Amino acid sequence: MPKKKTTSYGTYLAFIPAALLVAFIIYLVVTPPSQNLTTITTNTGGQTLTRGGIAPSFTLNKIDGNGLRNEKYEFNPVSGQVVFLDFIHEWCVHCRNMAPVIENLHRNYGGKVTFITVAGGYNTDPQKTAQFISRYGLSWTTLYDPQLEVFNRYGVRGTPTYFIVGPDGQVLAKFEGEQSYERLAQELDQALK
Amino acid sequence: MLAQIFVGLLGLAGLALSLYLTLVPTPEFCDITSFISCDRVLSSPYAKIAGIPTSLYGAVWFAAMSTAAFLAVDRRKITVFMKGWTVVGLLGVAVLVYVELVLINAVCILCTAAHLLAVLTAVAIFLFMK
Repeated sequence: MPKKKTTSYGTYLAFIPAALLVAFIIYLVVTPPSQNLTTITTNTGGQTLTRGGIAPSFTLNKIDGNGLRNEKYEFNPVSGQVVFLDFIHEWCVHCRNMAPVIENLHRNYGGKVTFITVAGGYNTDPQKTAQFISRYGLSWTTLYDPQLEVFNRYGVRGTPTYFIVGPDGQVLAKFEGEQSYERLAQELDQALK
Repeated sequence: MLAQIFVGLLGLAGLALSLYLTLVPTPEFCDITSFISCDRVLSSPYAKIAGIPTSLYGAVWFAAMSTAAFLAVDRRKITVFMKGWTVVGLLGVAVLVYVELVLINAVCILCTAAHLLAVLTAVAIFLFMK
């Protein structure tokens, strides 16, 4: 009588990695692409500023290519002008990738839009931030947020994060992660109408 | 049989790590200095090959190796495929390590863990599976 062939447990186990991989690939296809965002630990309490919200005012020290300055900058969101606000860290690779894009935006919109960069102090210091400013040629107002207080107030979860604030202080757009020049320019054009 | 199961489990561990690297933003503990920085490596132009995350290729390698190892419990001919697949994996590891050290000038500790799993798998196959 021929011996009945039984399936060994090895064959059953072999399905596990294949099933995991197939399930993961399906998940990747179905879910949106990654944001190219470097996450950081902030104490936002789960709150984050979104489109339609009112941008908080704040005061921070200015920083430039030479280092931290003893000069305060008071940001009043109801400034009567459109403001492009970006939050970065000098060590953040996505922020470095975006530096030429923001520079380009500043070159084309700097006359009509106020550009402000808030550089965070998490895992870095003013000297390294100054080197970043110098290396990437940030020619607009850059401020240093050593304890991430403004980051927390704006609910920034990662860098880079961009806000476009209207003349009345309302947040018109918010972007997290790397963005194309066209996308940001389109939003600025919309804000300037 | 134990060798096959061990290799299969190594493959599953490598698969889990590769999927983690593909899906999740780099954790903070992974960015220690500008040289030891997962973010620097995983944000570099080399993090994708032909538009596909490099770690996903690793996931495919580990999945195939794990599947083959479990099948090899009672199919000895599969060991030949596993040895050949190991060589492919080792070549991949060599290229990725070169890219990290020479082209990116940074090391990703999670990626290195995956590379070590691949090397360990190779050692287990050549030493214990005939």
